[in-house]
Amino acid sequence: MLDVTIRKSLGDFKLHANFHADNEILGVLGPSGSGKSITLRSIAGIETPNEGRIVVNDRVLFDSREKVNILPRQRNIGYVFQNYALFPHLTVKENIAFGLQGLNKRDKTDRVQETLHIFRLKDRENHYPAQLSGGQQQRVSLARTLITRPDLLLLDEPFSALDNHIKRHLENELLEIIRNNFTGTVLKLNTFYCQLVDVMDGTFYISITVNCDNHFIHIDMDKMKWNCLAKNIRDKVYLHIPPEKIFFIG
Amino acid sequence: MNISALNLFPLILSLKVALSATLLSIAIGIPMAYFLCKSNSKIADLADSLLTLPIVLSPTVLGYYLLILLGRQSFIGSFLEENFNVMIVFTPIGATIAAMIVSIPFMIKTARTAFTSIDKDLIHAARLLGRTDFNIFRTVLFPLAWRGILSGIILSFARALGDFGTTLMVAGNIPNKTTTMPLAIYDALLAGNTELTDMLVAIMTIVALSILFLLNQFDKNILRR
Repeated sequence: MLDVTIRKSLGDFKLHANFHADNEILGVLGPSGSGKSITLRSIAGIETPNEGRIVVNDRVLFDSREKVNILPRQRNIGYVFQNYALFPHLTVKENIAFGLQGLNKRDKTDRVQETLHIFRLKDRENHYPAQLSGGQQQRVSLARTLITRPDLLLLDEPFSALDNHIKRHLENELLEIIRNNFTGTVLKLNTFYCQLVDVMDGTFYISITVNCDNHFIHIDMDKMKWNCLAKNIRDKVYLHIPPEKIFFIG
Repeated sequence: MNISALNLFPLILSLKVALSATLLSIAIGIPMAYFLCKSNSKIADLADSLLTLPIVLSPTVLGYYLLILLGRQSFIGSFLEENFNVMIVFTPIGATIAAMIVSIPFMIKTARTAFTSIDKDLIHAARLLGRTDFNIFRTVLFPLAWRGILSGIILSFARALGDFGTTLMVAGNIPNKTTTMPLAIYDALLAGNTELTDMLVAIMTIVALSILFLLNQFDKNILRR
């Protein structure tokens, strides 16, 4: 469960994020520069919103009125960074064990071995990140954070450099592992594959393609008015589109 | 000239002074570089400019400032002399401080660059995985910046070993007390003793080369995987 109500301004850029997520994989959509990353970083505590409130599973992580701002290391949030942010000087095994603290050596080894097995990284345990393929790096990054049993999982737009075909394949693989190993809320940033279909009477008609579930969903926003873009690009709002549970920022 | 008749005092003093100055540069420079890379404030920029000043200032100007700051008439100098009977000017301590001041900018500059070049997301990732800032410094920042820090150490040591002007201003040139190698070479040349000058210059060159070579080997064999 995740509840977010935040405002953040950076120069003349204003972000308003206001949404709720249950224990599900939730895609966040929006063109680059629309504030998706800032939203994720605010939830993680890397950025501090100007005002608002962030609640994960009834635990208040941030509340500007109550002056609550929990440190990132105490938030218990899993974060998979865009470039995976693996520690280049540590092996796969050491990377995965990085967040395990306060456990005795035996429990730690057991947990790491179990995780290596689940993420199909057993034969790569002594490799360094630079020796891994993109897909393997992504699994290490996910393993490193899921081993700590976070309350919430945040996925920053992965594979932005890959082409669509490989991307779709890796995304499906990633989502499958998450579904099998994590039951909490997942917030996933999606690249915005948006196609302008028509412009009529000042209204934009677009079709978008997203991947925020086990299946690749293609939503044809037939005749759906998306006035936001036409009105004011700077004013960021989330639009809720049921039932696919996709949020728009933009 | 007979090698046994050679006074090795300046060489040993030079090595001691350069080594102590480098250790001080490490102890002060690395934490300073760390805080400078963390902060983007005007104060950090100002501190950075001040710390770079020793590279551009003439060694004599720098030495003069140190004399004013640490001399027997100064607040610090008189305080140390009265309470601890420690004198800085015209002593090896003065030579060490002079060598440190001229060499510390190299340490700070290279270490700061090394810290800054580390991907910020690695630090964020470590924080989100529950580590404290000090722990992150020890387990992530330092191991990743180590290469840059090592080149900073080499540059600092080389600069400290070769200092002439600042050392002369602060520590003077007292034979068998504060005469370091560069000063001994100057003395030998001034006395017209070309044989001694040649020998001292050769020793300096060999010592400097060996140290740099050893450090490079260390870098290659120990740090490279």
